[in-house]
Amino acid sequence: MKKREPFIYRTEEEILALLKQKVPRRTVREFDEILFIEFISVTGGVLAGALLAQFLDKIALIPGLLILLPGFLAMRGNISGSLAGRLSVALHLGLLNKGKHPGILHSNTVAAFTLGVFTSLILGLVAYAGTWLFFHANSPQIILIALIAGIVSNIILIPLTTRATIWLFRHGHEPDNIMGPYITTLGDVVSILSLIIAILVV
Amino acid sequence: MRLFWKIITESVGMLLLASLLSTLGGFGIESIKQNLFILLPLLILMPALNDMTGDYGSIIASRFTTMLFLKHIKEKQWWRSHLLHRLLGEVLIIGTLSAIYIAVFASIIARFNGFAMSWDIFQRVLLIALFTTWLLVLVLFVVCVLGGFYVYKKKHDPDNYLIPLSTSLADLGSMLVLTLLVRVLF
Repeated sequence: MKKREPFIYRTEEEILALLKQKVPRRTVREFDEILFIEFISVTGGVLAGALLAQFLDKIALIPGLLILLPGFLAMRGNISGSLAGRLSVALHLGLLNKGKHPGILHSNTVAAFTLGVFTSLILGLVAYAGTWLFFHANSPQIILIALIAGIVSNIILIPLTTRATIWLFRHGHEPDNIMGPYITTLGDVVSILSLIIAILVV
Repeated sequence: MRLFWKIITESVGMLLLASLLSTLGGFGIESIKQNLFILLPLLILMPALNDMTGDYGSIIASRFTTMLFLKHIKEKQWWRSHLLHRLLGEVLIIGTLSAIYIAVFASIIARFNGFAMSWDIFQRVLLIALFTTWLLVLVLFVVCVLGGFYVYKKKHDPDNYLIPLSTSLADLGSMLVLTLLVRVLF
């Protein structure tokens, strides 16, 4: 049996090489992936904060919109985040290979769209009830704004989420590390834009 | 069609709960609205902080779910798993770096917008960003692991529960911790 050499007899290069072996290459790559996308995400978040302040006077004109806003932003991230998570598991399990289980992708995207529209409607109703109960303002347009914004944001976000998850996986990246921050940043921007479009339409 | 209904039935309750929880967080922020308008760096920092904690919730939840499905992790003595240690370590280090980055970035933007930025205010802003991040990462990690095992044992897909739950918990938590810290520090 080969006797283990004491640590102190090793050269500096050998010790450094051993230390490098302790951190698997995959860990370093995952860390880099998350760090890179997180920095982009938080930069987007800070800029979104500055942009939101620009539109605050318009948003303040619609009673109940500030009640709707946090839930609406969270909903977009939740639906697309779950969609990306499900697709990631399916990709890891090899269920989305060409020709294999073609219904999985379709069922996932249609379900995400249905959930988005339904939840938007419920949030609109809650915002309407909250405005009426706490601020004594009758603002039925908030229901229509929520519904239109939900449809618009779904049409933009679901294809982007699906394509990005599959693209990342096929290019050797881990979608679980990247899609979360990507969805929340993109979801925030798309949701605010959808709400502004809905306000202009209504 | 079976998969469609499975996703709908598994997701809808949690999704509604999660979205309504985030709506509740808006009421907390409303109570410190005046402070936020006066302290410009905090107003600029708020969406990024909210996003950031949500991102970590989503990363922890989805990576933990993938570990479960790939059978890389077992419920028995999960706290000894090197994969979970690695996940928590990665998220905490990245969280710390991101918190420093957003505090500096928000302070610079506020300064350029005419806010009288001082070293004292910067320290408080940095403390808020760091403390909120650390606290929420730890809470989200425990919630995702315990919730994930529970949902997986019920033969449901943890992604459908954990991602909405962790992101809303992060949204609500970050707003509440921010509200509390602003009240204490300013």
